[in-house]
Amino acid sequence: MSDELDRTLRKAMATYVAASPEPPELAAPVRRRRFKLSPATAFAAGFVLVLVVGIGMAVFSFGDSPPPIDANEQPPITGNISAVELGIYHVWPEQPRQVAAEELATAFAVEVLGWDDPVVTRLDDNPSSSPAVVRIGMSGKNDVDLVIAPDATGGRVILQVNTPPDLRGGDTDTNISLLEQPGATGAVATVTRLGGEPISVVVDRDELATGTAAITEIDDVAEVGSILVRYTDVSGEVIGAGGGHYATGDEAMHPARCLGSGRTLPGDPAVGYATSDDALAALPGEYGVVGLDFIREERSDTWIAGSSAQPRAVVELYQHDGSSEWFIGSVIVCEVDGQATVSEGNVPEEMTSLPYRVLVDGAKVGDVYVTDVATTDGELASLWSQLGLVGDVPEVDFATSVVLYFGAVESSSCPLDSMQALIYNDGDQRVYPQIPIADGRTDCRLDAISHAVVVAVDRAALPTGGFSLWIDAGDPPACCTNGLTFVAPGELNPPADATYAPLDAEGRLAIGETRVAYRAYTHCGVEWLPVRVNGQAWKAIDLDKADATGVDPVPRAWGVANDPLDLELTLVDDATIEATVPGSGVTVTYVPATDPPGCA
Amino acid sequence: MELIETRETSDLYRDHAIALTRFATVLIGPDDAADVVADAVESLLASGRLVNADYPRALLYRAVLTKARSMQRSTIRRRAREQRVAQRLIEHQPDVQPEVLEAVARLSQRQRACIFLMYWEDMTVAQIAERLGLGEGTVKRYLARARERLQEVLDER
Repeated sequence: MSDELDRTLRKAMATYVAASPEPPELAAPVRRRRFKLSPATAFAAGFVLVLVVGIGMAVFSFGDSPPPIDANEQPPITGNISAVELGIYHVWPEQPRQVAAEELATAFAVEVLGWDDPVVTRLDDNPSSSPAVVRIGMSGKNDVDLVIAPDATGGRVILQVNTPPDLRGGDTDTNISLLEQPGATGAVATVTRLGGEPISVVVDRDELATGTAAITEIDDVAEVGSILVRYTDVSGEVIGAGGGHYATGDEAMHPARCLGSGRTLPGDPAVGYATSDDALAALPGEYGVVGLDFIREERSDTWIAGSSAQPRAVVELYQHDGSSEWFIGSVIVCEVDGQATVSEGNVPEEMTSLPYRVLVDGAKVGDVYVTDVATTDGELASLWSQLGLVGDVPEVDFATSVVLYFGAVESSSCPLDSMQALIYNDGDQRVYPQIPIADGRTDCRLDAISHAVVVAVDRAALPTGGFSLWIDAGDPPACCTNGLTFVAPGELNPPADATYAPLDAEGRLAIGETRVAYRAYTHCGVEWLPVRVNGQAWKAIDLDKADATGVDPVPRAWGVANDPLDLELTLVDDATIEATVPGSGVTVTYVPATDPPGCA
Repeated sequence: MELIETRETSDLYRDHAIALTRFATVLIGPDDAADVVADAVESLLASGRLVNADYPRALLYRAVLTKARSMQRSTIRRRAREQRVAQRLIEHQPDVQPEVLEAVARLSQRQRACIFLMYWEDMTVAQIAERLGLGEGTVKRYLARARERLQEVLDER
């Protein structure tokens, strides 16, 4: 680091010191009592309390002393909380249960929290094969939100209980952060250890007020498997909870890690890289990781391919002690649907960045795990309405462009940033938006919030072969393959025959001129010409409804009602348009009209 | 029931009151520094942990850091407060580049704590780690990240 930076920082600190106020006079002293449970005793005897720190009352000389506090004001927890056996790689239960997420949440409320009449509400609409977020509510208690995930056995476990406690190693102990829980006067923190007996610690009101509890029995945070903190009121009843798991490894099911079939490729600690980009560049050669598009989570040392909700691979980087070099910590690769994403010696697939214009990029809009195409003003208007957007539909020249819609997914705790690129992967013939996670958090909840991206893309820039639209680089979850939109070869490209000029957005057509209205919107049939030409509507005068399909008719030879059509339009004179679908042999004549009726 | 000796704790606080308040100023700004110190030390005294602590000074610093973190939980309020603090500091010391102070204010509290202890109290990484109860690697990471961001600010000038 530069000397200039050092000098600047010293000056900045001096500035803070100069602005520092006078030290405060301390107020009156208070008492505290601390109870700790021996884990073995607690689990054997159902949380029989063992007092390990004395009940103290202290009077200090700072300021005036308050009146003594009644020793019974904070009665000790008397065993209302039953023992619970937690998992190490998840919170609860110790063994996965083959039940639905809501049922597991109810069981948690009854068996662990001791709530007899819980109301369980699903907060997301994820499919049953995905992690779920479920809220437990009960009168007089604080809401408890759970992240519940399926495991490889088909059962379910709880990964998170409200916000997981922060974990921090002290000199000789481990400190965990506590939640603010209205009405709580104490808590019981149960901690599982990797290869050790579980620990239970009773936290009193004073410690609760500091926001931190010390687990003195654990001096290395790496020992911690999972934590569940149950907050209690003055009567010892559980009124809230918080928890999470901290263990890593193949068995761990962290939301920002692979679920189920993910596997870890251990990094070589002897190999260092000057920059994180160098480390990522080494992935194909050193680890055989190919074809994945890694995005760095802002302000973190984690790179994710796929999304935080559906990661295909996660790379952890950390700075080596004593140097400025970056080292690979671990590479966790998720294999999706049996398709290996790691193969030795493969050449990375070619990625192309497509030009685009953003029309919509925002959360809580539209649906999730879905994509679509709009090729006409009508289809775009329909999409606009479907997404619930207000305001004018943006103008798009569909003669030269198409509109792509991506119903992406984000987590409530890790929102997505703005779209950064539109990618075409020649390897899997997939077009998807590249959207980084806005926040550096990795402990993302697995709820699925919609994040709509709508872009206009030049037809000529789109791949000429067939391709599919998807929300990100990862494969769609098993639930949601229907959301993929397949585009046939050339379907969205300009026609190869240059003599067919496209009808422009303003629908200008000269007498004797022929132009093509690409993928004309036929939801309302073709009795009324689906596009406005020369500023006005046109109505068919010779449409054979007997040889047509749909309530709103479309000639059979042209195709099926509701399917978009490429209509070849010729302005015969200023009051006559002849329309046909090339190769159909059917031509329909249109004349100027007013007030097209529209359709439902 | 144990009666805690008061004179030692009283002296301990008085010995470190100014340094703790400066530390809190870096973490939370001058407006709330005194409150953070008072709350943290009072909670610590009430808990009885200070009397028996092997490293009471470290415990005091950690309590202040914890309290400051707790106080800044509301992100919106924190940002507004830090902007006000940065503005006040700019008024105090016009020779320090405003963008530097703004950049410092945008660091996380732990990063700021590490910067303060290194650049004001001249502590080593090991000493900072001990004082704050963090691993040395963690302290290095905080320092490196903070300096990286501030260097970017300097480079942009």
